[in-house]
Amino acid sequence: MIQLRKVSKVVTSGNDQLTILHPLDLEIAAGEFVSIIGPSGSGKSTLLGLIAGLDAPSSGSILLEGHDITTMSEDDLAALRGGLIGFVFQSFHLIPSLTAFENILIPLEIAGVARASERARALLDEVGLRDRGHHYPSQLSGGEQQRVAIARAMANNPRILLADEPTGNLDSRNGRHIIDLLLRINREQGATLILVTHDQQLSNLADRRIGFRDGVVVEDVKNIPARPDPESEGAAQ
Amino acid sequence: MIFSLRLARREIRSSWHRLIFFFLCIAIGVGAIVCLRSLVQNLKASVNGEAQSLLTADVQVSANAPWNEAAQAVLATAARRPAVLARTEVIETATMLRATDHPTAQPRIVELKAVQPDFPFYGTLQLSDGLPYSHQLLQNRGILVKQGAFAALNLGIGDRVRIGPLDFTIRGLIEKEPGSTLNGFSLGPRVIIDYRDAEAAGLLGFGSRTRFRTLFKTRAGEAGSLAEELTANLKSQPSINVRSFRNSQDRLSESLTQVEDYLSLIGLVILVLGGIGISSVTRVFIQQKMKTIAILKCLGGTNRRVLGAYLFQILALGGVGSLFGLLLAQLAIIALPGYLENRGGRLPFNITFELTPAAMLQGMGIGLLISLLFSLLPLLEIRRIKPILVLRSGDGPTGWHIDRVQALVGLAVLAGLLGLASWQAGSLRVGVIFLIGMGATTAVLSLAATALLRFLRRLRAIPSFTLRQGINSLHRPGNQTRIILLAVGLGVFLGVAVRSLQLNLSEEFSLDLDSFQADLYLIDIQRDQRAGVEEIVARRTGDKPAMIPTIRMRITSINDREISPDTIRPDENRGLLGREYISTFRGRLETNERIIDGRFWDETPSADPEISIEELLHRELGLQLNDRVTFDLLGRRLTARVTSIRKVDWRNARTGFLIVFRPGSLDDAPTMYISALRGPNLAADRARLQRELVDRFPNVSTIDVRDIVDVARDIVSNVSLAISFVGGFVLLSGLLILIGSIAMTKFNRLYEAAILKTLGAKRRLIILVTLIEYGLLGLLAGLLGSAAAIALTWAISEKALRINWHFSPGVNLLGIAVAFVLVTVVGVLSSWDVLIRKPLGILRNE
Repeated sequence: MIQLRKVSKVVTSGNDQLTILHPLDLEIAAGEFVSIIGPSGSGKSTLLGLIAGLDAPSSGSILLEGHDITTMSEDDLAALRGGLIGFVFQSFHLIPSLTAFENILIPLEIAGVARASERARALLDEVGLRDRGHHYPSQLSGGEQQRVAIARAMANNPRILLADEPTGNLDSRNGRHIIDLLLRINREQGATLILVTHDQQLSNLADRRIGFRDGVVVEDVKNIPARPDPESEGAAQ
Repeated sequence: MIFSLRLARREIRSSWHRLIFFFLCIAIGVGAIVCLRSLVQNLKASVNGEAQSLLTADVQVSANAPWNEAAQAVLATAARRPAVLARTEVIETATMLRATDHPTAQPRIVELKAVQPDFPFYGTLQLSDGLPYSHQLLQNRGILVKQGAFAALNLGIGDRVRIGPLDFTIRGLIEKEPGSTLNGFSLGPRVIIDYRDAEAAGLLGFGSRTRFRTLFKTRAGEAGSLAEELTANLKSQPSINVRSFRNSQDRLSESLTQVEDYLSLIGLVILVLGGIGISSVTRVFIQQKMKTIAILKCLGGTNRRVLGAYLFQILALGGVGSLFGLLLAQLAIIALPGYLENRGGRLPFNITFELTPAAMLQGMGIGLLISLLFSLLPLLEIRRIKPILVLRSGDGPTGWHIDRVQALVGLAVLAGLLGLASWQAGSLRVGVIFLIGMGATTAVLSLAATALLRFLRRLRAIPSFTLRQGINSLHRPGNQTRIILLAVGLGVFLGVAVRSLQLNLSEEFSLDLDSFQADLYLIDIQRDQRAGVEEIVARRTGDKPAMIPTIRMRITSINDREISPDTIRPDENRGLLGREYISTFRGRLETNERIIDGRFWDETPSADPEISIEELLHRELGLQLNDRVTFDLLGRRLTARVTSIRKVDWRNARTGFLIVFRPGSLDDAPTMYISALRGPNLAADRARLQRELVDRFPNVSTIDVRDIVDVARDIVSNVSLAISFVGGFVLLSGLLILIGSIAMTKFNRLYEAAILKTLGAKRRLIILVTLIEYGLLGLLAGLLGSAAAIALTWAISEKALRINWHFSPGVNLLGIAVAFVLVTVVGVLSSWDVLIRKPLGILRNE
């Protein structure tokens, strides 16, 4: 359960105050698949960053499973993220100096999981990259890098999965593959999935669609009935 | 902890090459420290192993005069003790030697040693060609001379030389002599003859600067008690010195420990400089790793763990660098004996050259500590990197505000450095001075560097694109411009300063020789020889030489307070109270003297003893006007009243005396004359003058200042070489920082060059911009170092050495040129990639 109460974000740029996010109340149920849609600069990614505790709101409080993350210290937040949240980014954000396998290993080792290597290998297998584990990110294609990133996000069985334009840098075939993987995690593991995109079609796949414009929610639609089978053709794009 | 270690290991695997120069900085500093420390420790071990052969005996009693009856009795009693196994006598003196078969050759002053059959009790006298030494070689007027000392005359075994009235035959060439000390300065080369011949040659005559030694060999463990007994029994004769081999070993060890500590500070200078480089590289490294760090924080990494991972990386590299430093030290120490031999260096005893475990351990520890201390502050920036960076770029840590943790860590780092310097120097005081000195030098140079860069910034308005772009590049973010200026500048500074000082000193020597001053000293002229010497000198040089009477004396009491080793208080200057004074008498002041208190007597002699003391005695011993000082003049007591205090300008001194008597009271004292004169300029004429003097008056020694100046020049040039070496190291670390900074900012450079190429810049233009950037950097560093060197050499010459300062344009230009060329070449070579890579690939990767 994710609860946002009167959350806003204002940044100061020179002498000007710029409101990125106007005060906002929002509740997202556990296991829900929410898409957040809107043009560039509408405040989507800011919202995602606030939910993950990467950034602090200017006002209001954010509760993840009952914990108010706005009062937590930097290190407590990091620990919370490590156990609760998985991330997938548009530009993958793999650590370039580590191999694919080691990138997946990182969150497991940070959390001190036993038999981390086995788990990492299983995850590589799950995203179909069993033989690519010893490659560095620069030796992988964009789609492969994003699959590694998803494996990394899945590592600690997070209950919340945050995806920021995960297909933005990929061609349609690879993009569909990535969405399939995300949906599978949402359905099979019951993880809450929050997907930021500016792709209308992609947003239609979600249980609930929240539209943003200039830092204000302009749309919050639930229960989109026509949710196609993700395995079927043409689902992603 | 485990996570941090693992991450560190993985990161090093992929980014070690970016930090390679970091590791070299550490290696060079550690190498220097370990090598220098090991050397001195090797020396110490040899001293301890061969302590007895340093003294050539267990106990030595020595004095500047023949043993009087009381002393003879004490020595004879001591020799009868059952613990004493043997006793032998040695005499050392400076005298003149002539090659009998080369009648035109100039006589030379030599350091003569006359020995009895038992010499030496310990150690061996090594002769060339493996000839074994035995006292038989010296019998029937045999002589041993220092190998190579008379190379000009090609003297060898079988040749004849004359000392005093006696002819000797050379029976061997001395290669290594036991008991010679470490100080390299002597009046002339060593020769050894039989004890009885010294007497026959008239070398023991009263007043010549002769050292008399009695050596004892004792049963093991008895040296200490014998030395104590002798000291107690000879207490009434302060001019007699008793030493056991333990004393001399302790004294030498002590001074070697000091040498070791000071040498280590040199290594520390290199390391601290490397440390500054490390600090700047770490900062750039962390900037480059910002994204990775943000990702790690996103994935749940806490500040402590991420910081830990990078700290481990730095420590691991510091450790490997230190190990590499050990390797460098090992290589240096292998090469050293050969190097010393080539330079004609000689060491008094056998030394095993090897790295000592203690030095290696210290080197490793210091290498790790410096890595830690200098990377800690930049590493703390990790705390400021926000994970939100993964969503929004450009949210890096802004500016340099210092928080509490940084301030505390900064203080801890300073304390750590202070501890390190004090530990290395073996003294807190020296540690503080070292740190302040380093800090001040760094501050001045970096202020100057900042000012220069500011000034350059103003030139950015110039119309030439190439020049403007070159200047702009100096201000590229992440460029370690200031640090490179500092390090290269410091290297140039040391090199130029040392070389200029050396030139200044040499010039001063030559000036002294050329100006109208004495360059030949005649000593030990006896009263009845005075007229003869005057006649010879006048005939050969055309000038009547000045003859200065000298009398040797010791202070026995001041204002009725007895002065003896027992009565000298700890706060008093033991050296000045206990020493032997050579005094003179005259009726007027010399031109280099002036009275600062009291009145100098007139020319009329007076039987009432009056003295004029030099300011030093007033300052150090507290002697005042009208104080009564009693002297011992070889057995006779004389009390004199202080009637004036003089200041001697030692800079312009041909001769200078701490104590001058009014004529009249010393007329019948045992007097020797010395004469300072300007000898003929032609070497042949000088030789002729000296030959005639030695032939007529064998006991008169001539000291040729020209020879001594040569020796002094040698010493100065050796010291300069050593300091230049350090300067070279510093310059090298500057270049390493340069290479490191170029490697660190390579991507920016590549990107910039790619954009320029896309916009139509030809490769030539890019090369030109690069040349201008590094040329400017080198030039600025050279100018900075040279300016600092000028300031320092001026201060040292005028204020400390009190010699005239001469500007040496050649050295300064050379220093600037070296910095310019080195920095340009290294800079352009390290940027080669940037110059030749195709732009498309780079732009695609961005």
